[in-house]
Amino acid sequence: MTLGVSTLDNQPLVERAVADLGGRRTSRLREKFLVDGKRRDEHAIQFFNPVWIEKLGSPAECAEEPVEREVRVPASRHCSLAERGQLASAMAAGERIYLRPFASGDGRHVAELSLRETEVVFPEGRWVVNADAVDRYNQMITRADLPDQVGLAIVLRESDELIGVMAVFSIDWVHRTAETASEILRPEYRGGGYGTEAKHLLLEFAFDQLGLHMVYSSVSESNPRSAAALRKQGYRFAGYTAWTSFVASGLCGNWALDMLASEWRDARDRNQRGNA
Amino acid sequence: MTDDTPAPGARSDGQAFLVGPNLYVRAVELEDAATAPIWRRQPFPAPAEVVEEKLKERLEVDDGDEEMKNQLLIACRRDNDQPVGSVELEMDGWRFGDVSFRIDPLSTEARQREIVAELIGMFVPWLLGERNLMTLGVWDYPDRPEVERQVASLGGRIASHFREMVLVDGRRRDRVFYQFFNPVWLAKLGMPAEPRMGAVEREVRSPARASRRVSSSDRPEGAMVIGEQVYLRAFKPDEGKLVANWAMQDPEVYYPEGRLIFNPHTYGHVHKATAEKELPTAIRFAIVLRETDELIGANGITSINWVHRCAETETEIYRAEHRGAGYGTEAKHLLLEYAFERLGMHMIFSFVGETNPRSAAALRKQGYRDAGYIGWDSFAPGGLCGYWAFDLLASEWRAARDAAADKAEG
Repeated sequence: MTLGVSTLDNQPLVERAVADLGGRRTSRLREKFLVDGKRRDEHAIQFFNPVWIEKLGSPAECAEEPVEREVRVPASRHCSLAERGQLASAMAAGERIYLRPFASGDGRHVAELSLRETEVVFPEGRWVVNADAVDRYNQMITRADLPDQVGLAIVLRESDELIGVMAVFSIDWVHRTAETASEILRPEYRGGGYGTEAKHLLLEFAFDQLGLHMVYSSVSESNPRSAAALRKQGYRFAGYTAWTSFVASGLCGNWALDMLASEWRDARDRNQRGNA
Repeated sequence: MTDDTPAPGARSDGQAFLVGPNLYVRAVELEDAATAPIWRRQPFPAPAEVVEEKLKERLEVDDGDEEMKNQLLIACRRDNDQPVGSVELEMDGWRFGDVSFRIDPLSTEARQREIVAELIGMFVPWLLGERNLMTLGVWDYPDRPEVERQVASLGGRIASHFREMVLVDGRRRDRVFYQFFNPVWLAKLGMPAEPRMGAVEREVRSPARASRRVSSSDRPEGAMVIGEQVYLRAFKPDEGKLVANWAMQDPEVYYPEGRLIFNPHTYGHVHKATAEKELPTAIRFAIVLRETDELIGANGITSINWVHRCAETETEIYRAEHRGAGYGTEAKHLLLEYAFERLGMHMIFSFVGETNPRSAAALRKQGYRDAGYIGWDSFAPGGLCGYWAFDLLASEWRAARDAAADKAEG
């Protein structure tokens, strides 16, 4: 139905060829590649099968957001811990939540919460999670000396209760990029800023501890709340890829978002100066 | 909890060494897996089960001496037995030891400095005074007054200073290597030469030139980076036979350990094994003459740290007739271009035995900065010799290359 092609920016011959073949650029992830010492953007190109264009019509196009943009909820500095106490397993700590490695038994919580989920946000709907598979997977990805993904549990400081999960994955250690994802599993903690607080701790980990240069995220258009949250956190809307999933009304697409380490730090530092 | 379990805060009671006013040190235990984010060197989260597996892999060795050569120790608070960090103790025989610390990254910088200062105060007297090491090295960050005072009080000195070596909380930080000398051996041998720290502003007598871009018909087989006279390609395992043969014919002695016999099969195998890793910690190239496709040497980067983006460089030119002709320098700059421009390394470092002044001179010409001197590292004809340390930032290498290109155009 559709074909995606990844190219570098600033390649006029490629752009002409794409246009001649009826393709279009769907997203631009900034500074995604290191090539000959310079950071280059990734252009994602999409081609549509004309048979399906005729049946379904041409999918919507969405322009990317300008680079200069407002960050409505920038990061604050993480909390230092004079006393570890119950936070002995914390990798990063905020005011209300902390991030820790997954522990045995987290799979069971995730499985239970998935069956109690009342909202349908993914195009593929809700699914049944196997607790053992979750625990085994979380152990497997951490055995590598240099993992290509990192998962963290989001935990309330007050009660040590697991409320969500998040990850940095598809880590490319040469280009220093990765995709981010997060999910607040307990509905009562959505919309309360916990996800944003956790995301900024994750971004601090990704940028300041792992040295990543940029991150990106992919959000289904069936989940506009998630996209709105990312934009508040400072991600930039980088484009839209159509026809990625089946949904109740037919097909839906994915939004792409990007964020540079430098932008995230600038917003955090301005926020700190503003609070000082 | 068994009857033998001490009450919290009582664990160090009766401990007779490696105990200070606020901290004590003990061996790592499988139970420490639960507090790994406090002490584990790797920056990645891992479930306690995986940390415990990794600890077992490390500790379940067939020869107890193996564990003693590279020990992982945990530093704890005396008042409540909580871990505050870890210590890696590496012993090179019973003569030279090397200590590095990983202190809880969520504690404040001030607290981390206090802990390191107290730990140095425990380890130096124990390792020099009781375990009779000739010399001990300790890694830390510079500009930590508490630590510097402790080092000075114990007679230590900065042996090397590597710029922007690590990434900590989003900032590049330097690393220093302090060296302490056993006073018994100082009395016998005298103090080793003072380390020399090169100026940051310095002349680069042989800067890089950009590598060549060639058409597919001109591309040497397997070439990964191409210069004017040489190119770099993967080392072929069966070339081990050539290298082993040349090593037996080498008239020059430049390593303190003298000339070596290489097993050709092992030499080839090592290169194959290195290349099999998805994200290697060492990369090696064959240096080949463009004109004749003749193998003349090898170079590479080792100890690659993909998080901190630093690595060590090394080069060997196999035969005397190819040394001193600029091939090594050209090959080195091709390697540096690869390391900095393709792999995104931030800085590199190198070590050269003081029995090899020609190699040290070459590095200085190529733009490396003198980063210090470590004394009493190896046995040598005159007794003991040390090695020089060097560093080079990607930004400096690029600036020298670009300045040379501008000058050539102008």
